[in-house]
Amino acid sequence: MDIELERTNHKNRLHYRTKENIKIFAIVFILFILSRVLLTFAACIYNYVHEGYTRTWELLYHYDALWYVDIVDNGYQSTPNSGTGYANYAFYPFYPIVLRFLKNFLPDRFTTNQIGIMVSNVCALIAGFLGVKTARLRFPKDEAYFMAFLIFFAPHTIYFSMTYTEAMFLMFTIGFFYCCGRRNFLAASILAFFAAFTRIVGVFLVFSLVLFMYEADYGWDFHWKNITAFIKGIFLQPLRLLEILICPLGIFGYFYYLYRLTGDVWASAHIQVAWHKSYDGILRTLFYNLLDSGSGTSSQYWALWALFGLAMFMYLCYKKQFAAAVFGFLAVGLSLRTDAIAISRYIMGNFAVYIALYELLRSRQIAKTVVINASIIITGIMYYMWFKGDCYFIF
Amino acid sequence: MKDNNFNKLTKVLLYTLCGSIAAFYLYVIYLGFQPRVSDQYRAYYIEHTIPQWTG
Repeated sequence: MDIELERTNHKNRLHYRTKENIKIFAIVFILFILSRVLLTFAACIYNYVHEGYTRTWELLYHYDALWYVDIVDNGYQSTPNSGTGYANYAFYPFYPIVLRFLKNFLPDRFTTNQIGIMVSNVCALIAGFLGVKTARLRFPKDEAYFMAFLIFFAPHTIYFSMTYTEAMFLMFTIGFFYCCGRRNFLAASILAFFAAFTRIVGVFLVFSLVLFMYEADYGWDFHWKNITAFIKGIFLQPLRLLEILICPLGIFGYFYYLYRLTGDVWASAHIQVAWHKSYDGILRTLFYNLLDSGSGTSSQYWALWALFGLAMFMYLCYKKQFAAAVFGFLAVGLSLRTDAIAISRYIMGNFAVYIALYELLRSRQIAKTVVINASIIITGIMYYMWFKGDCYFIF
Repeated sequence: MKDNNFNKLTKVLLYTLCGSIAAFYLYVIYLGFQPRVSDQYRAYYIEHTIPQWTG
């Protein structure tokens, strides 16, 4: 009788959770569709103003998208381009691998760019769904659809709709934080593996994983006795040790591949010098971009975004969300060590910022309304400027 | 007894896997100190002693 009751309760819980997940997905899907309506609305206006008829996927096809298409179609090059010194191995492989895999099964009428756009949009949709689920783990009474709104409409989320790695990376990092929230560290480490394989900064999720593991055992009680017991525990529990070691495996695999291809393990880091000189330090980068304006007003725009991102990560520390804060600081800090170029894209591609924004705004209705309205307007304008193909600051 | 052996076996396999992965990482890091590149590549990309790529 008790077993029967338990079985019935389990079935009911499963049924309720499935219904709840379907409801969440349906609402997230509607938000996603509305965000892509905004994209195509901006595209229609662009074509009307320029009296043209350029297809949406061609309007989205700029800058790094060309590099990813080149990798998918031609593979990685073994020597840098003469003249510019650029090389496509600066771009990490998992996203091109997925596109190449799908290209084998899809009809020839789909270009590589179109496949990239499809994959990015599917990843963005999954990211929105997982974002809502993750927010509900921390705030069970919230509906949390504002998290999905931020992922689909916030400034610089335009990259989630084109042939860029940002959407896939965000999907894996949100999945990582969701699994850590459920204390499923094996799944989290596998997602961290894929995140690092997609963008190098994903490797910093290993530090977040260790912090989540520590928090699961000891809370945020950083006594020396607890720390030594935790470190000892990692080596005495082989599964926990494996979970930590798995995270950078993909990226080290890519480094070994680069050694075989170019003779240089760190080729993907060394090639960056061809794009821009390094300021060799976060403070120097911020100083010269804020006050020296090396790239004109774009430099100041990026430097201010960097300060915004750093402020959000400090807010996460205040809210004791140390795992997310560490990931934010390390991921953004790595880029700022050399330059501030494209930092706005890196910040808005980092889930730690969304955690901070959601926590900051969730109970501030007026601020939330302002952010929602401003986001829609700014993102619409950003799409339009992106279509022009020569707007540097949103790069 | 059988369960204990299984658990021990699983632990041994997991430790072996961890050891293999760690060894792979150390090997790749070691290769990082032994680049097999041209003088021009080394000068521009690694040592930054020339201002432009001439390859």
